[in-house]
Amino acid sequence: MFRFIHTADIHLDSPLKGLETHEDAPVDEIRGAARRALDNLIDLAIEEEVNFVLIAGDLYDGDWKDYNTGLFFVRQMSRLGKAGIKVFIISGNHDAVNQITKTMPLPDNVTLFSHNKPQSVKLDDIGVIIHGQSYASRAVAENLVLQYPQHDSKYFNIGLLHTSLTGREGHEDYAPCTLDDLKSKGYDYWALGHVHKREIVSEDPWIIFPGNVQGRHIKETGAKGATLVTVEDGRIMAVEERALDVLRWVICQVDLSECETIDSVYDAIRQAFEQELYSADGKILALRLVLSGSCAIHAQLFNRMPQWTEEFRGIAAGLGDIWLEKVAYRTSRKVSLKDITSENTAIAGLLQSIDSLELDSDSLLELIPELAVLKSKLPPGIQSLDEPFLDTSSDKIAELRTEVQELLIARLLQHEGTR
Amino acid sequence: MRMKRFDMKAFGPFTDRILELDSKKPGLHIIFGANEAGKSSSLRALKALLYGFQQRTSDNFIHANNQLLVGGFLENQDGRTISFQRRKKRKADIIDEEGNPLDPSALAPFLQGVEPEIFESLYGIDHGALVRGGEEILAQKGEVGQALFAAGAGLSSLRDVIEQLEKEASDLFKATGQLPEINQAVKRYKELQKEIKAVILSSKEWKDHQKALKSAEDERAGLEMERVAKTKELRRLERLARAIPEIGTLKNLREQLKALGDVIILPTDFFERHNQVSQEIREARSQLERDSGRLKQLEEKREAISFNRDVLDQAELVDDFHQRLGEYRKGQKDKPERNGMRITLRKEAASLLKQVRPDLSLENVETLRPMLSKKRTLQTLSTKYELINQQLIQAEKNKKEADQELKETNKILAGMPEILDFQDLQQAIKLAQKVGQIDEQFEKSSMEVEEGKKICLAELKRIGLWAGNLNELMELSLPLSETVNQFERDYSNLADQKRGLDKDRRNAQTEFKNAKSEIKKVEYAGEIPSEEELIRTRERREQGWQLLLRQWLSQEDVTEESEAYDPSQPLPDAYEGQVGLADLVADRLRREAERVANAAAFRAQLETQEEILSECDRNLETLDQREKELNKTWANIWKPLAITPFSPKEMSDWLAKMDKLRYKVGDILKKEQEIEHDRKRRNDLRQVLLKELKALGETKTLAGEELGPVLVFAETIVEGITSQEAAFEKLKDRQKNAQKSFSRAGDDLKIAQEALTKWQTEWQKALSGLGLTEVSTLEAIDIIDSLQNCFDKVKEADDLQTRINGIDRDAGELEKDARSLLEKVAPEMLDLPLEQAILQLRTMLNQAQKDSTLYDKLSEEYDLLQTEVSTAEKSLKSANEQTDELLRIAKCEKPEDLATTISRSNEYQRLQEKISDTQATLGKIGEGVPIEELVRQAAELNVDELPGLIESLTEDIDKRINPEINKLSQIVGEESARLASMDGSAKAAEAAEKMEEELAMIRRLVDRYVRVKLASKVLQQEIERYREEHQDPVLKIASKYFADLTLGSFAGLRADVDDSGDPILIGIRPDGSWVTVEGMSGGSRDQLYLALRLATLEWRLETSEAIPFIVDDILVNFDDARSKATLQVLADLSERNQVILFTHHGQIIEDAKKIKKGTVRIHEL
Repeated sequence: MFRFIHTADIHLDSPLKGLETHEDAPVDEIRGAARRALDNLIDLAIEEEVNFVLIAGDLYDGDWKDYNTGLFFVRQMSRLGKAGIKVFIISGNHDAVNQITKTMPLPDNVTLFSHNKPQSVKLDDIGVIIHGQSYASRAVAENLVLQYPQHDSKYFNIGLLHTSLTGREGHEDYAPCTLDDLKSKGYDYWALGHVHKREIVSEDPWIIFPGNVQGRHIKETGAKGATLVTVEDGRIMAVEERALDVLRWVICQVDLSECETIDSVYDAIRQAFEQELYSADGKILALRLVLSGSCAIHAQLFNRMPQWTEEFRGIAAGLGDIWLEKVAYRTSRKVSLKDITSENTAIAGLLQSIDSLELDSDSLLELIPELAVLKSKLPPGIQSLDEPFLDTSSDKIAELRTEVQELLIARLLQHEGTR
Repeated sequence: MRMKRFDMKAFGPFTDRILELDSKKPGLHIIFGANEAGKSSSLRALKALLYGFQQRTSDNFIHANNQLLVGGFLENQDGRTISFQRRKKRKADIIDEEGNPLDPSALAPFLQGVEPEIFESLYGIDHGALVRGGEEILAQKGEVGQALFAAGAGLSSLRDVIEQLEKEASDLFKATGQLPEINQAVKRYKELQKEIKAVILSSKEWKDHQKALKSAEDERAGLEMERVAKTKELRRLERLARAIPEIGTLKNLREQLKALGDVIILPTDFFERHNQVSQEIREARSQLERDSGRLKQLEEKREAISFNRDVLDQAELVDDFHQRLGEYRKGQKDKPERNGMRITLRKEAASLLKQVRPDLSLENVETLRPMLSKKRTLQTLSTKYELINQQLIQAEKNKKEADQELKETNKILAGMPEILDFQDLQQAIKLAQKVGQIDEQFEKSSMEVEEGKKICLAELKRIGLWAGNLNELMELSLPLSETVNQFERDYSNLADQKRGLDKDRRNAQTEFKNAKSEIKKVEYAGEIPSEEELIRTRERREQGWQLLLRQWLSQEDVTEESEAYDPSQPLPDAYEGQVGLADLVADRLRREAERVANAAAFRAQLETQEEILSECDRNLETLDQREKELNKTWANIWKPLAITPFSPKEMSDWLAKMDKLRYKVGDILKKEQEIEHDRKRRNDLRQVLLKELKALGETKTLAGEELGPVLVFAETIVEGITSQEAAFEKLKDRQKNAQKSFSRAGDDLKIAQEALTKWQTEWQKALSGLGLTEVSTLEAIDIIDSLQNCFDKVKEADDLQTRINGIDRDAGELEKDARSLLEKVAPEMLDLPLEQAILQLRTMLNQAQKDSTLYDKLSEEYDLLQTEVSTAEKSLKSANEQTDELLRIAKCEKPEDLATTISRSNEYQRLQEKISDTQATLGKIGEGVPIEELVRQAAELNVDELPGLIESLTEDIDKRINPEINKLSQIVGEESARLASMDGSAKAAEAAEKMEEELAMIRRLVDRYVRVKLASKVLQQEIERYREEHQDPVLKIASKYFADLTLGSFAGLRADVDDSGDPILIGIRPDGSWVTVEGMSGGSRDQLYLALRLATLEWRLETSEAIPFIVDDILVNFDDARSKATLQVLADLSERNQVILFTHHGQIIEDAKKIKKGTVRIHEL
């Protein structure tokens, strides 16, 4: 009997994205989350007395240059070495361009597979053979599997591969291959990497994406960790998912349709938070609050969004262990603005004007010349492809339109009302 | 939509209060309630009906929340109706008349989706909103777009909204600046970027250091090995260098040992023992020699000593004699002397006796001894006598002095004068004293009065108008101040009336002038047609008509009359001309009716003013007449005083001053009277004093009026009499005392004489045993003393006799004892006198004692010496035995051979020790290398080369290898430290995380910025668009409203542009001049805002369903005329759009009742 851990996409020292610090944020608790997740992985391996650990690519972020990260990694590998645990690594697309991967001397218990051709390593004491190939460059377009050797029937065969298979949403297509390509090799277990979402692709043979060990932004929600595999007499007896993450990303939907008073909104949100905390295994939460439903309180919400966001942060801080990533205001009016626009009022005219505004980025820049200046002052990091400076996707434009309408309606009417 | 019925079934103060708003046209419904009648409640009820109850309501003070109920009946323009009720409930709050829940959307067609906020802002207006709207227009300087938009949207605060949005935007971001949130976040982001750059570790750097460390470590290891080898060689050579001298020494010593041959090794203490034994033998022998000589000498000396043992045995007795010999000698010496003294004493005693009692011999003296015991009694009596004698003398002296004193006082008393009675004078003095310093007070008061009078006269002169003395002043009869005040009021009334008339006159004149100029103005504008002119023209036309009639109908010849009618043209033409003229005048009269009326009004005014002016003149005359009469009456009042008065006001002042002065003068006169009273009193007192003095016989004349001198004189007299009286009393006392002293002295004398008699008896009794009579006190004591002396001497002589007898007895005993001893021990000295024999015995004893002591001493010394000799003999024997033992050990036959043997043995041992020392030194030097090995290595070396070799090795290690190793160690240390610091730190990673945090914040803020900015821009654009679209039609409507609301003070509104080209609103006056909003009054601006609001409402009616317009008491600050105008405007609007006006002003109801046009209904609460 032997056991091993299959993990991938550690992305060590990759920062958490989209978390804005504020006074009550649990900053210290989540600092260095990726490192602590790796720590958890090592602890798990030692506790479970596994025989070896597989890392299916992407140890580091591609553009991350701090050698300290590598030193930290090596130290962790040495911990495994001391416990007599071997480590087998293939480099992924991120590692291929990373200087650390190329230059960092690894301890004796660690094997980094060649990137020139598939390599096979035998562990005769437990009858295991591991096949794998590292990435030679960032974008590997060819199907690497084709070059992998056929299974060796005297051994328990494991394939290590960094791939997007036939394509996975949100992930670039690297080393593409089909399920059949993999199955044709006759291996007992395919340890895949690259896709951050855990996925059991197949159970015969076992083909698994373990997902990454620590979610880094709101798109990587849910528990994150590694796969623990137990093999007995050459047969896989157990495949277990073990959570390793330090901080868990969640999207918390709250329907406010039933809320008529501010207090009831607070209650609803507090309850939702408590529910999320309850199901978070004691992890700290990075939580996106999405408010929805047509409700009486809609106008008040849109009028004072920043202040409301602060209030909700207050609730989160009161409960502890929640970092409110963002509040998405998706509520709607009980009576739609469209009904109001049927009236021939100045406000109706205003709403119609907003509806008919061209809001692509050029028009916006033309409409608000200050935005060009703002854009020039902003750090390039903010203008990434994921979240462009002026997001002109139709969703975002619609959102922008609604928010501006609501803001103005609230201000114009509310203002009168508060007098 | 309009509301046809509004039913407050249970709300606030109302129960089943129904307002029937049904009318043919939508109508203006005025809901009136005085304060507290529930106007506000009904307004809330209306909103509750349309939009539901507020969550918290204050209208549940009669009806509980769940009882609250309002109802209504609504009708749409298309004729659809709904009758419903609303209760306070979250859900299903709308119900039909029967109480069945209605679908909430049932109301939608009537409300047209107007949200409550919009309803309030668009279809509701209250006084506050009106004023704010007016202020807003002013603040924007009438910027048309915002004004219109604000009104159109029912908003009054667009400017604030735009400003708030722009402020929020600039709080988020500014192109330049540090403080906005985005700017700050970007700054922090950049700082973090820098931080990462600073802490990041590149892989090359790490490898470089790794390499440097390894190379330095390798090189250092090689050098360290070399140093070990060279150090080892160096140590070996240094060791040999130290060992070589020792090796030589060792060799030498071994040779010496060999040369010594066989040697008997003696024990280490042998030499010592030998020495000790030899010494002992020497010492014992010399001891024996010394001691035997001394023993012999002692023997001889002892034999030579011999002494008297008998004397020695009787030594105590001899000593006793020697002592007693001293006493014997003294006795022999004292005896004659004492005898002499005894005889002398007896002689003296006899002589003393003879002085006292010549008749007695010394042998009989003892009969007198009892007298000695009376000495004390005699002494006491003697002292007593002295005392008695003194008392006698004193008493006699006192008696004599008292007698003399008595005689003297009697004589003085006989010469004293009579004492006078001064009681009455004293009484008068006391009365005079009581008035005090009357003279000074009198003088001071007089002066004050004089001074006061002078001041008052001066004051009188200054006040003026009247002259006279002070007494006259006091009697002067002045007019009452009330009278003067009445005159003052009369004069003042007169002046007021005159002023009033003057003003009226001036006004009339101005009016007159104005009317004149207005008439002129009218006249300049053209002749004014008049009724007269019309009558005249018509009469003339009638004349013409009559002429024509006569010509046509009667065929009369009217040529002449025609000529006269109009010489210039034929009659028909003339008549036609007159007809035209009459028409013209009539037309003008009608057309220019206003001008005509104006002209007529001005003419009438002209006449009126003329009348007023003449009326004024008449009145003025009357007033002048009245003034003259008043002047006369006024002067009359002052005539009795011969004063010509000034104005009443001045005279009132004068009177006040005179009153004050008169008061002052009154005071002064009163004081003057008091002084007179004082003067009389003083004189009375003075006379009384003088009278009493005279009665005592004092007739001294005292001039003047003052009381003081008389009083002083009287006091002096009284003092004289008082002292005389005191002297008489004193003499009387003295006389009494003298009499008392005289009688007491007589008594004392008598007592003393009696004491003396008694004493004499006692004295005689005391002297009785002496055998003497007539002895004075002093003599008696002397006799007793002599007797005592005599007895003392007799006793002394007896004592001496006893002593002499003792001396003789002692001498006899000594002689007897001495002879007895001598017979025993030295019979040869029996013949010697006692004294000499005792002395010689003593000498003999001394000699025998000395000899005995010397003998004992010699014997003791002798015994001691003998013991010593035997000890020395024993020592010698033991030493000889030891010598034999030593010889046996050293294998010698004779003691003399021992020395050689010892010396050889010693030499052998010395060499052995040295060899062993040298070997030890070598062992140390060798540091473990065996000596033989050292010897071997040393043999291999050239001794002379050794220092050179050592030096070159040392230098190589110190100068080359060690510094090199140090240098490398430093490098190793540095590199190790550097590598240790590259510890996998997460600093860069943390900074990257923080950067992401900042990015997240920037993203959120940028999003917000875009929204806020966009909102602001869109709003501004929309305002402009709205203006463009609605300006013309709405402005047109608003213009009309504005004119109506301002009662034609403004003709309308117009759009214009300001200096910077922005469109603005201006008001147009009826004369075509224009006024900017800043130039308008606050009220006009309120009306401007209202006009815009109403215009927007009306404009919207073109396209939308009507909604009731709720007006909450906006008329409070309007004046009556504008209030009426506004009501009319609202009534006009209400023809198309229902208007519900809430008010609590009764006046508005009154005004509303007068409205002619439109449908107005009044509902009282």
